[in-house]
Amino acid sequence: MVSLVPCLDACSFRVATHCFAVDSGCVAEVLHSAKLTPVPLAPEAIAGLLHLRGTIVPVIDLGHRLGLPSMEAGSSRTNLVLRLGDDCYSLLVDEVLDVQTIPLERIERPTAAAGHAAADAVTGVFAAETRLIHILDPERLVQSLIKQRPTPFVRHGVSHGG
Amino acid sequence: MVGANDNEEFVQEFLVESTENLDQLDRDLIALEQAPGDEERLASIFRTVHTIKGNSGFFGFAKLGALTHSGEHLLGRLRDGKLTFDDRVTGSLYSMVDAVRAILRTIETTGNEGDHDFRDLAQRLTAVAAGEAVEPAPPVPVQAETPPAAAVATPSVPHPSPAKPALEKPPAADRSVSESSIRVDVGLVGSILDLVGELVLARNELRSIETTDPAVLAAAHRINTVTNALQETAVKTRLQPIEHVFSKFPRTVRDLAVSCGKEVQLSIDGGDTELDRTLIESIRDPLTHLVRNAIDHGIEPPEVRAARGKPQVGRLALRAFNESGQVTIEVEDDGGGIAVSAVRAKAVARGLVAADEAAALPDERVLQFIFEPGFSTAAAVTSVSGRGVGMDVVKTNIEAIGGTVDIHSRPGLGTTVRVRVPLTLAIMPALIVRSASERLAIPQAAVRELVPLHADRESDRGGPRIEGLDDAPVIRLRGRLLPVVFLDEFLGLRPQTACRDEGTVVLVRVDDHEFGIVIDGVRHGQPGAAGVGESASLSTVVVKPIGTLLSQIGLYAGATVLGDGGVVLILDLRGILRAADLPAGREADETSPPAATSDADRYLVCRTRQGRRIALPLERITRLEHVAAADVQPLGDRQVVRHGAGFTAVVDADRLLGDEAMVGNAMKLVVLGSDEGAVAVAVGQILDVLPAESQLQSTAVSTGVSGLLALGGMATEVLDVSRGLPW
Repeated sequence: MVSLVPCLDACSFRVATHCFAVDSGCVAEVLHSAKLTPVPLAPEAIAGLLHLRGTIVPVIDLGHRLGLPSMEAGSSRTNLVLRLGDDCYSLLVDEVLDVQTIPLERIERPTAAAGHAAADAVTGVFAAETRLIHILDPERLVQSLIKQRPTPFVRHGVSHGG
Repeated sequence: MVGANDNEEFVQEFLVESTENLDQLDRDLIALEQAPGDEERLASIFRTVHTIKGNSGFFGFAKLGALTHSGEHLLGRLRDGKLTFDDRVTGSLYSMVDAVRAILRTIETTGNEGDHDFRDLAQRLTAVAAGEAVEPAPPVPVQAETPPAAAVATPSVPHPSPAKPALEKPPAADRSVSESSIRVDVGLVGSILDLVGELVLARNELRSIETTDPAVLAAAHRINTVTNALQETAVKTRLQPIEHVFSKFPRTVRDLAVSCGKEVQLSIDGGDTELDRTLIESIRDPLTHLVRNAIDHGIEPPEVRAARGKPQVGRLALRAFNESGQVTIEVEDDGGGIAVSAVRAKAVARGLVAADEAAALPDERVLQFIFEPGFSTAAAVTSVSGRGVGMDVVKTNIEAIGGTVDIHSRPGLGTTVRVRVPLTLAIMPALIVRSASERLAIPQAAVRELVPLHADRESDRGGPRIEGLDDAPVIRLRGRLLPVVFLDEFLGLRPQTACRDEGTVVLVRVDDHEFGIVIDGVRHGQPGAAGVGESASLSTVVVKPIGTLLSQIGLYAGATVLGDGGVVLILDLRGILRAADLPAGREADETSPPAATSDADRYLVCRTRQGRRIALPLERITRLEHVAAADVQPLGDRQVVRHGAGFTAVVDADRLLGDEAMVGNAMKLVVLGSDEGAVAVAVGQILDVLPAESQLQSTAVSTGVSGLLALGGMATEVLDVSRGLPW
């Protein structure tokens, strides 16, 4: 049946105990247990680099970004690879749940209570049967990281005098 | 029936083709100017204009049609011998080419011809064709180089060969190249390269499978061979001859020479040297600038040249050639050269260098000041030195693509600017190095040499060791002191470097800075082995962009995937240089032997753990050590640190000064004397080694201080070590 109300096809996933979703249209791929290459001196929310068929994809540790400590061991987490324009990013999540069609009218404005580190990337909240799903705008999430420049360089010398 | 979209496609093709035709026209016109009787050339020009006219009629571009019609008419009269080729004719033909270009650009951006009014020009063309006297054509405006109409890979159009007998010979030889080539979208070439990269990785996996099945082995071997050949070929598809940039210059040079009132003969060499197409675009503007400078400021007006006994016609040479994996492009003129003395004076006036230093600098070094931002914009230099504006911009642009610029000048004889750029940015040789648990890539173009460090302080053989201070480590290499960065520590891979004694120094040169990057050396089991094979290996890598998120860190130029499938970050050396804030390398004590004869008036400046700035005479110091507080053992009311078989007494600098000794978990030891007589002074921080800037002033000093000295512009207390230390 074709739905006549405007809808969002949302791919939902879990980070710690929270549920999030992104527009499934920008999901390129879901990868389990991919090998990540660490990036020294990168912002902490960057979990590393992923090699995906010729493309180097930066991996964002969503749990870290959202201030939600992951319960899984690093290796068992899932990479949700998103294509944003010409760029690819991967979100490191605990579990990819499903894709569901959410009528836009049932998406509510996020409450201030969602006030975590990336609150500005949450564009809406949808009350599903069993859980609350936060709709994420991946573009904003990435932008929030780009703005967050690493602290100006301090030479990593030995600590002086203790 | 041609649909709207199809039509658009045709128009695109028309624009691309016409733009190429116009470039050809420029070349042909210049050739015709030099050999006015060349009938074949004239016929070629006629055909080109005729083609544009025909196409514009087909697409309904009326103005373009009218303009080219007048041009064609004029050319027809020339061809039929009813008109002779002279300045008036060339002038109006050049104006026509410019006008056609302008219309084509408008069509490209807006889809229609725009509101250009070229009726005057059309009339002038007609008048010239009729042999009427007309006002001389206004000087051809010097155009800013514009990017080509569309991003297409086009084959090389070699410069026309000497005139052949003109007979019924449809499209001249120079056109035939286009028949053997096709246009391919650049994006498509990019994806082919990516896929080849994937194939290489798959091939590597295949190779690592252990099997004895001869059929599998044979197939694997063939796949291997084909993959290598495919990779090589695919890389070549991205290369374009530098001719694409050079071909614009005959026209640019002619226009500039006319507007500057100079006579210039341009010679172009090595137009078939190939470069990645993205680089070709990037060097276009800098090269144009250099050519402009050479004509505007380098080559003298004909009278001046005659007076100096030079040929009246100035010579400008553009040369491109491959040299050690890079492409070198030279812009050489035989003009007046650069007045080095004027540059020197200007550098002093601008405070870039002290007057006495400037006088001692060799001319080659002085010339480098031209690349200082804003340096040459000063009118005084422009007129005196004979070198123009914006060399800093040229340098910046070239360096942005990993290239270098240097300049040589022979006063009165001319100037050569040499630009070196990598063949491609997509693929480059890189040194894969290991630091702690990570592998990283260093662009090989910047690498000067690899030097294994020697832990054995007493040994004279083998490589150098790290000298200098914790905050400014250096190595001494052939009489130079070069700053080094410990990569493991710098990248936070280890809290404190493990390479101080047994690392390998990768000596790199970025811009004018030379510095060392210390990577993990050959460790465990092979002390003294000179090889660095285990810590660094050379590899040709395909550079992948890493995106804004990671490039904002400022330390990585990209990433690459190695044969084993591992991802490796490519270091941005310029970024590292900036981030590490390294001092410039310097000559070690000028020409004196490395033993530093001037130690007598040099001092080690430290900060005590209480924060007092103190100095110790360098000649008394045997070494510097970094120890954890746990290594210092109390011995009665004294402290000692174990050193080799014996102990060295430790005395806190603050206590010597009559203050309380602070307790911390790590400290720096300045060791004075040797063996049994050695005493270590514990300080908080080691700042620098500085020469004394004043006499030691010994009046009114406090406990433990022998006097006051100006060091680094600050009054500094010199710790009294002359009478032995009270321990």
